[in-house]
Amino acid sequence: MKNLLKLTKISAFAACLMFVAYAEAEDKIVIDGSTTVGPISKAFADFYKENNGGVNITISESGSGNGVKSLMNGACDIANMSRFMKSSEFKACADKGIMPVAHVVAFDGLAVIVNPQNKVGALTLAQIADIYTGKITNWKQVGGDDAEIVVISRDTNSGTYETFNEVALKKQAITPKAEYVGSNGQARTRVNSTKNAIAYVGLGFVDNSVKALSVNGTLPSASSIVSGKYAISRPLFMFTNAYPKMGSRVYDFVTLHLTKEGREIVRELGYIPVCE
Amino acid sequence: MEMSPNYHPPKEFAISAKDFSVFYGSFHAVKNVNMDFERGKVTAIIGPSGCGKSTFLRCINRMNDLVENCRTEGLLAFDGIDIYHKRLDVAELRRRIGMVFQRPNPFPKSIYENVAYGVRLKGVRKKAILDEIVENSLRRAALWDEVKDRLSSNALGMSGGQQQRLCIARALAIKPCVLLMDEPCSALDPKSTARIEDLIAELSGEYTIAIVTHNMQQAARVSDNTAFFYEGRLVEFGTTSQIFTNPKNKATNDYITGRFG
Amino acid sequence: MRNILDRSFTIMARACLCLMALTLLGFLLPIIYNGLGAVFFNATVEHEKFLRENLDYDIPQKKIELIERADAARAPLWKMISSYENSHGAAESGKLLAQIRKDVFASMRADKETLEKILGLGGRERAEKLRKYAESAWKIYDLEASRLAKSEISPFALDKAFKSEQTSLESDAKKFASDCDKTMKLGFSKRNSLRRNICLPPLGLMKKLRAEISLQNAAYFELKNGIRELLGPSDKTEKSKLNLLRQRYGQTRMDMAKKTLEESILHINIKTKNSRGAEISRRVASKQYFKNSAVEDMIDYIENNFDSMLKPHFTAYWGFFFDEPFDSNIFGGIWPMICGTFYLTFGSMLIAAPLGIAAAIYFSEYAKEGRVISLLRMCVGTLAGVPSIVFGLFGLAFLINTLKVSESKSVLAGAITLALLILPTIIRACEEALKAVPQSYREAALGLGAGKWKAICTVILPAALPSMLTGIIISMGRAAGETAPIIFTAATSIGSALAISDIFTQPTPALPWNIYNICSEHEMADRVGHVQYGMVLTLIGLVLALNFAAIWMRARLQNKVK
Repeated sequence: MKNLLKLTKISAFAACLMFVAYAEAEDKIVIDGSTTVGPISKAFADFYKENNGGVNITISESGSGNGVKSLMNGACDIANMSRFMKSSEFKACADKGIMPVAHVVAFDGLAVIVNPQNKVGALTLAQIADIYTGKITNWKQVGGDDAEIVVISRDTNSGTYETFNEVALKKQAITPKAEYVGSNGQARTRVNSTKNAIAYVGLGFVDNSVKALSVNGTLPSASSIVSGKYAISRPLFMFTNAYPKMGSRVYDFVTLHLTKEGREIVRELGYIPVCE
Repeated sequence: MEMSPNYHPPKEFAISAKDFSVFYGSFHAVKNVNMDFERGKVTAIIGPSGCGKSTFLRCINRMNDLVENCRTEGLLAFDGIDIYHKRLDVAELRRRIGMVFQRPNPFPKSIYENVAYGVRLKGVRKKAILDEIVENSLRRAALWDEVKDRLSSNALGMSGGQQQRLCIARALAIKPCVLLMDEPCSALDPKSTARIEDLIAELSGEYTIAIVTHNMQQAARVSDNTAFFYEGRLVEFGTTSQIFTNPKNKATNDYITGRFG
Repeated sequence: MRNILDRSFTIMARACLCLMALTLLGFLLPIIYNGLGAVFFNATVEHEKFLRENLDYDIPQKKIELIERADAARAPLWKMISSYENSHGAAESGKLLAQIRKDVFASMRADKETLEKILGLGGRERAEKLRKYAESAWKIYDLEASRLAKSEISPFALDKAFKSEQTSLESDAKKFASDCDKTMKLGFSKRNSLRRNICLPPLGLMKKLRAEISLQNAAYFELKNGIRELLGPSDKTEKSKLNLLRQRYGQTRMDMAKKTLEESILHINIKTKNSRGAEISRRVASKQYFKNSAVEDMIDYIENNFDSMLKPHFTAYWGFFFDEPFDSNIFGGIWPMICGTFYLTFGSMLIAAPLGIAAAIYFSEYAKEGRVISLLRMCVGTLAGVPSIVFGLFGLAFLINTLKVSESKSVLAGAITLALLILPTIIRACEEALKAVPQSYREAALGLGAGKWKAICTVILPAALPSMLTGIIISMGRAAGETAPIIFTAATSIGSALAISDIFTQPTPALPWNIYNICSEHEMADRVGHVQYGMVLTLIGLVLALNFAAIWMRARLQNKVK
């Protein structure tokens, strides 16, 4: 009898928790996806939480590919992607009843970085392509010291990789000797610690620990990307399932980049806002 | 719960065995035992090591169920009821037939909780009643005076003799009809042994006691009836005085006089 | 001979123990030292400002005075900067240029006949003649502009002046063209041609001069960025325009401030062109680059007044454990991560412990040895050896995508996955604990008439409890530190600390995952190095605390038993 009473009390408590849990389910935004768009999402989340309390915004940075998968499975509200969705992904989404809608939140350039001690300061796009496809293997072939080039690329799950592959490599195969890293930060760390490494990262990730090369005579910067002079640039996306309802929290979040503050945040982070 | 209509064991015997055998796998440990335990009397079971006396004793309250591949044949009855009947409530049987083991095995709880354990199992909750039962049991086991002011201390902190008396108190607390004792003094010093033998003498009359012992002098001192087991068989059964002064069987005589065992 | 062997074994054993202890210390001591650096460090006044304005800390009077003194020490620097950027010379030269411009336009307006003749010509000839005319008309202007560019006036100020001149030239050209249109009835194409070509030479020159200046200015902007990174914005209005917290405050830690001084102020990246005309970035010593200019004075001032502008003082920031993180963990603490780890650990224990104990009871008390039981035991053993990443993927695929225990990642899914991970260990530990209970207890309990289940509940389980608890708590320590199972099921990089009602639906940051995340994916990983160490120390501290709790609890329960 006593045990039965205890059991009833516990199940009542659990039922209450469940109820509260479902009642609270509205006030959250779940974001998943690219590590390049991650800083923008995080800054937007901080800004949004400052002005609208009580909402829990969670951000995961597992790569553009995983962002799509989460959106497909309904596990996230917004998928950050540093590339556009592939047609296979669109189809998979449509099969599951998800209609992806793209919001361009910023523009970004892909900086090709080397160790600050590397003599080389400028390369042409053709030389970069040759390095990554394995035709050029030694720094002395492009005016540097006699040392083997350590080629570092992002893994194939990454939107940054896709952009680089399309724009710089023109979809050629990367040399099998290349090392793969999982995020912008790891690529930067690798270049910082390896004297003869070369890698590509989003512009917002270039800092004093690495040196950005100029590509075809132009250094990557906000102005050179906007003017189109810098060769490797791309839009950054946030994908949602259908256009979010006006006034909903997701709507407010994905239209932040259109506001004055949103544009300033993008600029302060080192990316390029969509409109001035 | 009833037996075959042909056999009705006499009710004055608390426990009766008829053609009772125990097998461990293919090993025939106890062979066709026929004996009766008189109500209210102390029956001793003696014999050399490995002759099956402990096995037989443990079958009475079905403790041998804990051993794998143990199988019985024949009839073992308690108060006219087949102990090995399919629908028998073993827990209830064990409440009526208590057991004291060779090595003292108090629970790792307080003295009070040890004695009250079996009583609580029966559903008694009221503290006043429990207190009374615990005190009575400890008094009967001649332990009360020694532990009355440390009832909540851990039982494992007592000496061997005290622990065994505690086990007896624990067994007595649930008021069984029969008390089985499997070499209760073999792990104790002579002083504790003497106290327990006194205890057995006190309890007889009120309880039916079956005691397995290696010690023939002990059997001679405490028991009314004695059974001699040898190699799984009941060789001779009779009153203690008869067995020890005038054994009918040569093997019995050899054992008693110490030629073997 | 035996003596020698004995002795050598003893020596070897002792040496091994020493080696193990040294390795452990060598591993733990740097972590402890650096991790404590997250809480105990030399803070600057920026740290106090941040705490006061964002976390509503009460700053004691002494620290408020420090802040005021630091601000006072910075005031001269801000003055230097503003005088450099708004040098009067620029305003004057701007006025001068404007005057020349007005004169040129006036003379062109007066020279109507030449204009009419040129505008009468056909398309290309007209454009060429217009340009030649403009070149000669604007000669004085061009000379003056070039002279200014070579003068002592700061490039920053000059750029401002030239920029406004550019705008004025364009608008004046437009006005001039429309005036001429009204008087001469030019028509659309002639008016356009006039507008475009009449100011071409000066505009071209402005563009060229500004491009030259911009390279110099770029270096100055780099330096200014470094100053803002070190000290924060100069005044309230500038601060209110900035949105990111990392831009609103300078460096909060002295070690980072020194690093910023070295890397962003004393050395900067400048853009130059290499021999082949391609832009490259080069790293130069700032004082060398800005030699003999007002900027060099600024750098000297910063170097000499470094301590008085930042006022370093030793502080113990306990809020590191209890505050929420701000701006990607650059400011604030790690409370949501600690909270998340607690939820996951206790959640997994609440799920795995009952299941594990029940399974252990079944295995040790009820199961009859046979093929089925051997198979089950083998399954449990195999489960113990499955890599944790497989659990993570299983959790994602089965719990979240198929069963949909929650819509997205959640603490619930993570706790279930972790529970599966530690379940085999708990089953083994509990089974060992139950087997270690002497058979005599079972016999005694059964002999008193207890049913099997009653005997287990009242005697066996309590006797085995100390060992069981030890096993469970040690498994909890393992669950606290596991990363792979929670990557896909529960962990996020950023999130708030969850309330209990949210754990069924919402994901959470957690210590092990966030350590990895910050180390590898953070955009300013070197600025949050102290946070990484702090999190590692917290996690290790948590696991050690759990292990010590297990040992202490076991000792206490065993004493009770004795």
